[in-house]
Amino acid sequence: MIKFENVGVVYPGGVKALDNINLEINEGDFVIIVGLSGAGKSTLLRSINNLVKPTDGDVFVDGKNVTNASKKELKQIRSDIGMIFQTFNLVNRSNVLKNVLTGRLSQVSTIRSITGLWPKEDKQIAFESLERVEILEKAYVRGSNLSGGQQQRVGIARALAQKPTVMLADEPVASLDPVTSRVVMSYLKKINQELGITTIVNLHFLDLAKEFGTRLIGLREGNLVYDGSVDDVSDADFENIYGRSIKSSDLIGEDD
Amino acid sequence: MINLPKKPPPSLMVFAGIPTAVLFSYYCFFKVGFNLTDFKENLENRYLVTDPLFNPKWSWAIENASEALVETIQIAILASVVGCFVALPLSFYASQTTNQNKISYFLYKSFLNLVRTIPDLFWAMMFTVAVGLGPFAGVLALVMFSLAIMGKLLSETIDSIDPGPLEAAKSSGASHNQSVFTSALPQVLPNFTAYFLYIFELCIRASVILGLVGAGGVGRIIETQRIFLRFDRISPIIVLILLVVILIEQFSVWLRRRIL
Repeated sequence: MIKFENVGVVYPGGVKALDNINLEINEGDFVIIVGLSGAGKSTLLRSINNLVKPTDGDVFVDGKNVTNASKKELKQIRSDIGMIFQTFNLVNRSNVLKNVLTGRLSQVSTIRSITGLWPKEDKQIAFESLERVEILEKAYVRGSNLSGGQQQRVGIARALAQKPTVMLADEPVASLDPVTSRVVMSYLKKINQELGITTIVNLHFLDLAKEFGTRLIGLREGNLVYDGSVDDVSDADFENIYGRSIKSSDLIGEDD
Repeated sequence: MINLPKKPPPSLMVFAGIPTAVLFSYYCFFKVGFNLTDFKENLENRYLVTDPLFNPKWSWAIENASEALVETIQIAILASVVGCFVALPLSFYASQTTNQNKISYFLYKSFLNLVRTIPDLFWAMMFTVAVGLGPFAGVLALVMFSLAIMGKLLSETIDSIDPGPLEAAKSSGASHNQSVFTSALPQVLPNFTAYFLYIFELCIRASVILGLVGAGGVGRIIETQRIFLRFDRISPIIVLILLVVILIEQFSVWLRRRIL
């Protein structure tokens, strides 16, 4: 379970990114966070694994306080939280397998990871993760030689290699075309259902949010303005989240 | 006919800058005593230098200088390899992308700046005092020289890498060293190789000069012959050095193309 208690984030320079957020996310949930850019979606996601440190309040993951965790505890907590990124964040010059093995770093000694002498089990986990997103045959291809959709699937495999209990996805489809976006979202959904990994996805396409999410959280200017089931959300709710009427650019559109 | 926007007039920088630059250059000529009459008068004594220079003693040079020339190359190879590999870890500490600790970043950066500020000839003089005359002093001097250049170039390259993969590794619970090694190092390896080849070329040239202060290599022979004004012996050595430099440059161009 992930719990936010009165969480606020003020960036150096005075920008208030999150304001007094209280939130509980249950195990196995598939949560989608929507909001305009600058509404605090990325900040909310990154405060879960402490890539952004809250300036107020506390975040708990499985009962452990992330905000006050020591360096060692934080590594431990982070190793249970997978993350995928808008720009994939692969090392383009390394092959797919090496990129996925990055997800095993927390379990392997520095010497072994630097010399490339990965334990057999860790390699096995990496291969299994690639198999799960059906891209195993590209294991020895360089990251830069893959298409955007394939790179994001490698990104998912890297997160899966951590054997996480929580998966954070920060705008995972913002750099992809509509068809590929749905493919990537279906993999996330499949992983959530098959492995029971709590999944939290930032999106700004409202139709995609409705199509894949179960629970929807709306952020506006750092405040929680909507929290409920995707099935109950109305256009008026979306207009409240966005603070304006819905435009066609807020929708990813149908496949064609 | 569309209305084209008005072209802005030349800036004040151009109006004021060009005359200032011309005046300043004229002032410099005047100050350093540049005048063509001196040049012309001295040209009449040119036979002292040009005659021997254009009558190279090839057999003497090949017999007496080739061993020293090989030593020069050996000094350059050893120094650039050691210097660059010492600089590799230091560069990651001297970049804010991979070292968030402001104090240690500042210390590493300052250390590299200090090493770079001291001229290679001065390093050579210090090391000849410390370890005695000979090629070892030359190697040490050029290690510092390579270290300084590599540290500067590589740490600035690390500043501009994509921080995304580092964040990804960090978010998975990897230690700092692990993140840097798996996510930052692969991004700069091609640059590192290119810089290494460049520094190796610089070292070949610099190691010739180092002989002048007794730090080994072919420079030592040039220095002794220069004292006796034996330009007929120096000119073939210079041609030999030129050949070596060209060969190495060709090799590194070829290698760079293969690697990058």
